[in-house]
Amino acid sequence: MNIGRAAPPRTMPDGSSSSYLHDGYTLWSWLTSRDHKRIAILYALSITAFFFIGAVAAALMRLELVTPAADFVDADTYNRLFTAHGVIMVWMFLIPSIPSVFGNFVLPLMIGARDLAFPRLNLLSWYLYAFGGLFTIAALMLGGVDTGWTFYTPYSSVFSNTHVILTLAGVLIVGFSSILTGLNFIVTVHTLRAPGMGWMRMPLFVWAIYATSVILVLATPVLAITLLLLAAERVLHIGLFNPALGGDPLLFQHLFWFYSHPAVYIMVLPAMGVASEIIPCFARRPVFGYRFMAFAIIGIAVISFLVWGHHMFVSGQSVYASMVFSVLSFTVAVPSAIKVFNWTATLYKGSITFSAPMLYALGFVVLFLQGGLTGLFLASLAVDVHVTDTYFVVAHFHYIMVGGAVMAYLGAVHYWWPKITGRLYSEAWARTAALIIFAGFNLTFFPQYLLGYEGMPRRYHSYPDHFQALNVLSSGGAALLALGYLLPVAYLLWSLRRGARAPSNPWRASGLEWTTPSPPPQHNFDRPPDGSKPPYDYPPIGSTQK
Amino acid sequence: MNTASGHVDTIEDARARLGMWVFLASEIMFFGPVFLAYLYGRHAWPEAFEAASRSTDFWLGTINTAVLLSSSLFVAIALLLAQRGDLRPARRSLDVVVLLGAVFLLIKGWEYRQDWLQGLVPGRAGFHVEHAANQAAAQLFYFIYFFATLLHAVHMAIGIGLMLYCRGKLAGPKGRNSVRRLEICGLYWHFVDIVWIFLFPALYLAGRAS
Amino acid sequence: MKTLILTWIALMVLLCITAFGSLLPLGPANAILNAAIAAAKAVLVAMFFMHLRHGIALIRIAAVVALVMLSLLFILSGADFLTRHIQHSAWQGRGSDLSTESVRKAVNNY
Repeated sequence: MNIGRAAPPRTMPDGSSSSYLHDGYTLWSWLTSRDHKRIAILYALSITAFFFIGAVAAALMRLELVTPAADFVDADTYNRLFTAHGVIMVWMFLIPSIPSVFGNFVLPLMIGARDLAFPRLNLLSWYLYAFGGLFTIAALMLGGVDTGWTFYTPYSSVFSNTHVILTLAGVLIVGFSSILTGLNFIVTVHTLRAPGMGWMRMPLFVWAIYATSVILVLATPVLAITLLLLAAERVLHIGLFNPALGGDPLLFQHLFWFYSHPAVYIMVLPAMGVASEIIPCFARRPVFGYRFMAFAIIGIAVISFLVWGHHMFVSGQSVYASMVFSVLSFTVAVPSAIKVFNWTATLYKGSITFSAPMLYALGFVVLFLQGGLTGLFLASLAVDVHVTDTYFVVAHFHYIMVGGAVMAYLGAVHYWWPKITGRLYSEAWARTAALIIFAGFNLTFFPQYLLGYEGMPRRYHSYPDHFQALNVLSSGGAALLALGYLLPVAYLLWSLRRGARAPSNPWRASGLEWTTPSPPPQHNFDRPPDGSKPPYDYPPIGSTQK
Repeated sequence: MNTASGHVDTIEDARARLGMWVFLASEIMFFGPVFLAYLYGRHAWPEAFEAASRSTDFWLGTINTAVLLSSSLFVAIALLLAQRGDLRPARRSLDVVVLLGAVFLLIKGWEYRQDWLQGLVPGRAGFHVEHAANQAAAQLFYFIYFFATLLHAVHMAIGIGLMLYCRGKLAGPKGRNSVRRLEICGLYWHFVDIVWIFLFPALYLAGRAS
Repeated sequence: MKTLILTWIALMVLLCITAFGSLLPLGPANAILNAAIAAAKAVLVAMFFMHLRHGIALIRIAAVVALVMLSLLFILSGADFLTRHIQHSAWQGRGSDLSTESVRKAVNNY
C-alpha cells in the first residue's frame, strides 16, 4: 500500500496553511481553536503534566516503603500522598487520556469527518478540564486530602480535616468535561461517518471510543451527584451517609462505585481499541473475528454497569447482594477473554514487526490478561475476604491501569506520533524504553501480589520487617519504571526538532487517518473519503503474504 | 422527516436533537441517585419520612405541579407555531412560559420561607417536625427535600434563561437555527418538568392519608 | 395543536387523581398508584410534548437506555438494602436531641 510523500509545512497558493500545526502560531490561536486536532494536543500537554505530578506522589510513597519503619513521611502525609496519587491518576490522567487525546485527534480522521459534531463543545470540555484541574492543584498546594481517592464516608463527610470540598469541586468539574466529551463522540459516530462506512466497517478503535462515551455519559453524572451530596453533607452536618444521624455509609459506596466501576472500563476500553489498531498493522493481518470484537466491546460496556458491588464485599453489604455481584463479575471476564484470544489469533502466521507500538500493544495484552485473571480471584467472595484491602488489590488494578491502559496510551502515542507531529522518532530508543517500562513495571507490581497475599494491607506506610525484601524489589522496579517513562519525553521531544519528516503512511497501515498528509491539514479531507472499504485491509489470516 | 407541523428536518436538526437527548440521558442519571437516596430513607425510616412529608405544603406543591405542566404545554405550542412560521404568536407563547416558570420559582421561594419560619430547615437548631418520633430521620427527609428542590430550581432558572434566549432569537432575523434552538431548549424544559413530576409525589404526597 | 391540548387535559386529570387520591387511606396502594401516575404523566410529556412519538428509533433508544441504567442502580442496590437487616444502635438519630454537637459527642464517646 501507498506510503505517501512527506508533507513539509508550506503555504498553499490560496494562502491557507498546509497543516493544522501551522494554521496560526499564537497562543491565542491554540487556546481558542475549535480544531479537534489542536484540542487533542491541549489535552495531551495537560494530562502529561498531571501524570508527572501523580507519579511524584507515587515515587514518594515507594521511597517511604523501602524501609519497614515510618521514617520518611508521617502517617498523615502518607495518607495525603496516596490520595493525591489516586485522584490525579484516575481523574486527571487515565480517564481523559486515550479518549480526549486520541479520540479527539484520530476518531474524526478514522471516520472521514472534518471535525467532531460539536467543535465548540469540545473546546468547552478542555476548558472545564483545565478549570477542574486548577481546583485539584489548589487543594494539593493547600495540603491535600487524606480520605483516599474513594472518599469513603463518614470519614470524608464528618471527621476529615483536610480540603475535601476543594478536591470534590475539582473532580466534579472534570467530570462534566468528560460527560460533554462523551456526548460529542456519540453524536459524531452516529452522524458524521463517511459515505459507505456502516457500523461493521468502522475501525475497532471507533467502536471502543463509542462504548467508552456511552459509559461516560451514563455513569459520570452519578459520580457528580454523589460528590455534591457528600459536599452538602460536609457543609450542613446532616447525615445521609453518616450512621450516627440516620444515614448509611453503604449508600455512598453504592453510588460511588456505580460510577467508579464503569470508570475503570472507561480507562481500559479505549486501550483495547488502540491494541486492535496496532496489532493488525504490525502483524500485517486483519483483526481476527471483527464482529465478536465489536460485540465484546459492547458486552464489556454493558456488564460493567452490573458489577460494582464487588468493591463492597466486606463493607457490610448483604451476603445475598454480594453473591449476585460476584456471579456478575465473573461474566465480565468472558468478553474480555474473547478479545485476548482474538488478538492472539490475529498474530497467527502474521508477518510480525516488533516495532515500538507493537511492543506496547503486545505488552498491553500480556499485562491486561494477568490483571484480568487476578480480577477473577477478587470476584470470588471467599478469596476476596482474604485479599481485599491488601496489596493484592493494588497489584491487580495497577496491572490493568498501568500495565494495560498506560502501555496502550504509550503505544498510541508512538503509533500516531508521525501523523500528529509529522516527525519520526528514533525506533531504537523507543524500543529500549518500551522494554525498560515492561521490565520496570513487572518488577514494581508483581511483588505486590505476593505482599498482598501474605497480608500486607494497602494504604499503610509502615509494615512488619518480613515484608521488606518484596517492598525493596517493588521500589527498585519503580525507579526503573520512572526511567522508562522519562525516556519517551526525551526522544519524542528531540524528534520534534531533529526527527525525519514522516510520510502520510509510515507504517503502511490501513485506515482513513493514514490517507491524509502527516500532519493533516486543518480541514482533514478535501472531499469526504470513501468509507466503504473494509477496515483492516491487510492480507487475510493464514496467508503467507508479507 | 416531516413533523406534525409540516416542518422538514435537516441533518443539523437531527444532530442537535440527538445531542440534546444524549445530554438528557446524562441528566436522568444525575437526578436518579437523589431518588435512590429518598427511597433509602423511606425504607429505613418510614414513619419519620411520612410524618415529614405531611409537613410539606400540599396545596402549594399541587399548584406548582399544575403550573409546570401548563408551562410545558406552552413550550410545545410555541414550537408548533414557530415551525409553522407564526413567529409572533410563538413569542407570545414563550412569554407565557417564562411567566409560568417565574410563578413556579416564586411559589417555591414562598414555600422555602414558610419552611424556614416553621423550623423545617435541616441543620438549624430549632428543627422540629410534628408527630415524628425520630427527628434526625425527619431531618434527613428535609435534607433530601431541599437538595432535590434546589437542584431542580437551578435547572428551572437555567430553563427560563434558555427560553428568554430563544424568544430573543425568534425576534431576530428569521433563520432555521432559531427554530432548532427552540426545539432543543424545549426538550430541556420538558425534562425539568418530568423531574418535578416524580419529585412531587415523592416529597409531597407520602403518608397524606394517615 | 389539538393533540397538545388533549395531552394537557390528560395531565391535569392525572394530577387531580394523584393529589386527591393520596388523601384517601389506601395503604401501600397509595404509593404504587402515585408512582404509576407519575410514570404515566412522564410518558405523556415525553411522547406528545417532546415528540418522542415521531422521533427516530435512536432517540427512543437513548431515553430507554438511560432509564434501564437507572433501574439497574435501583434494583441492584435494592438487592442489598432489602436483604440487609439494619439494626440501629441506641445513639443513632436519637429522638428529639438534634444538635450536631450532641451527636458528635455521642459518637466520639461510643
